[in-house]
Amino acid sequence: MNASSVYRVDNLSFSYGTINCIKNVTLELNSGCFYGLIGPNGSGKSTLLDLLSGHLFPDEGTIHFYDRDIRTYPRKQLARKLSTVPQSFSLNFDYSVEEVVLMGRYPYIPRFANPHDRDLLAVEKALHSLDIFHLRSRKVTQLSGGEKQRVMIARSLAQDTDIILLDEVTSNLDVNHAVSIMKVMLDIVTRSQKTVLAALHDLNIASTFCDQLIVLRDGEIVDSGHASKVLSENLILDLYQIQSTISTDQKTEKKHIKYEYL
Amino acid sequence: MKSITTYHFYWVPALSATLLFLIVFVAGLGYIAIKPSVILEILFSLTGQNVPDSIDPSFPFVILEVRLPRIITASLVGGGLAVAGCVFQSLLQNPLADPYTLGISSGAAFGASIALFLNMIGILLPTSYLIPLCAFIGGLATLYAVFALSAPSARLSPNSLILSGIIISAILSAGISFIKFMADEQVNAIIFWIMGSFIGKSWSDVFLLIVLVIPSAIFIYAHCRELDIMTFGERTSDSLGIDSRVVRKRLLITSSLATAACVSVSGIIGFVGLIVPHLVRMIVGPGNKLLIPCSFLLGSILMLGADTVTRVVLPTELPIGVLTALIGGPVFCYIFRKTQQKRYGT
Repeated sequence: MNASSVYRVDNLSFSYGTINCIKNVTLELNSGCFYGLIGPNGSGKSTLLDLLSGHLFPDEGTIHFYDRDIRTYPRKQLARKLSTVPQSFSLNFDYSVEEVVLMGRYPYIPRFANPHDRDLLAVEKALHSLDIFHLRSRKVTQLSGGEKQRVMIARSLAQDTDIILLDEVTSNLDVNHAVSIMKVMLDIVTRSQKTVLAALHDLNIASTFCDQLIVLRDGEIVDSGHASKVLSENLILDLYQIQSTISTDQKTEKKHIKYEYL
Repeated sequence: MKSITTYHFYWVPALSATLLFLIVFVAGLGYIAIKPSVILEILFSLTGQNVPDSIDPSFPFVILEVRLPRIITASLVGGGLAVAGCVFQSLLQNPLADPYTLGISSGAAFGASIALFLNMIGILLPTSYLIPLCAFIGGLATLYAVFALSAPSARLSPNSLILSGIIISAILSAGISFIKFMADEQVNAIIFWIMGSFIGKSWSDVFLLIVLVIPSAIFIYAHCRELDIMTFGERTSDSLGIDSRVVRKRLLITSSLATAACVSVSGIIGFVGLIVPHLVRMIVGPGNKLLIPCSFLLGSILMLGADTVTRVVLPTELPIGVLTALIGGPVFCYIFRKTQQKRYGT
């Protein structure tokens, strides 16, 4: 592997008031990899993503992003390398889909300047890859939940960054749209050597699309490594208190989890 | 692929022309009617030319010293409040926010009430300066209190800001009632100040507004893209490279300065800051690049129109704040009803 290090996180800790959300997290992320971040609700996935995106600053420990402390980056420079699709966002005003996706080009367009042709091209490309080009003049407030989510992902694609952080972006989507978004992400990882870190709840999706899994529980990393090695019946019992059987798909060699609901 | 906002750019010159036309036109209306052509000649005389002998010698005084300061004050206050409304709605991520949501109006009214009260109990200071000054200080002190109350961590989340604004407003309203009670029979002065008016506005008021409102509006316009993006929430704007906390604080302070300046000059004039951004959004869409200049112009036009109605048309001058609320309230009901019907398709 000659992949270069994107993130180097050392002894990261963060608390909201007295609640310790992230405890002594150490990890390294390499470029050209599709990472899945899994763990139960409240395990600290979103907080970890907030810290990695520079939205929150750690109480203790350091985050090095391309060998430089993330806090030393000017925000706009960071935004040209790193984009985030948050789990929740507010849509109160009637912007068109196209306007929202064009906002992804904000870090590239100087104040008072009009968007360049390459900006409009990036927007068009992003709209096509998320299959929402036909919705481009629609108002975002009038879209369905899944369509809104795809608009936000298109915005982050238009931002054209090396790293994309996704916070449970498939949770509100039906199987078809969830899978198609993951395919788009897998495609940009394999073809453009980009790095994606996606917090995911659906373990079957995680095992199918992610190369590497990082498992969080109570703010600590309990396991990480190749997806097929990390996932086990014991881990699932430990994380979610639910019995399961894991089989390996003959064709894709991906692990498949079958939960015992009753 | 063209950005949708470009289709509506003609609104800016159209509204500017309307405003200029309106200024010249309404300057001629009033107790002494003066023809627009005469007004233009008087205005041209400002460039150094002599006023023709055919014009009544009192006309230049009426236009330049009486009507024009009032007209320009009304326009700037209308524009300033409308732009501040745009900012508050975007930053608080709430279409129902207005320049007074953070309690600046209550603070200014409290300051003005104190100034009027001091005057009543015999502490005689030049009220023409003292009232605006106290109102301005009151407005800014309220802003500081709201920030301090809502944000120990400098995070300034929209909901806690709105809530702090409501709390501080409630306390200040009680304070104003107390001063009114103490003022006893002279309570009218306070009541009239709070209802808002442009009567007797002079060039010194215009100067204060030009110094505070115009630079604020330009500063806000320079942040139009940030305002767009920040409506999506802090995580989104942070990830797009905006230092959200810093930018939000900067813009809230700027628009509050403009609001405080407007209120200190004219008293509390409601609804303009709420309705104008809504009206403009219905016409040109929510993008702040057009929303801000169009709101400024439409706010100016509407305020000037309302002030002209009370100055010229009505038999006695109605407080402008009452008039805007009487017109604005029902208009807002209509707009709200229309959008509800459109949204739910009935």
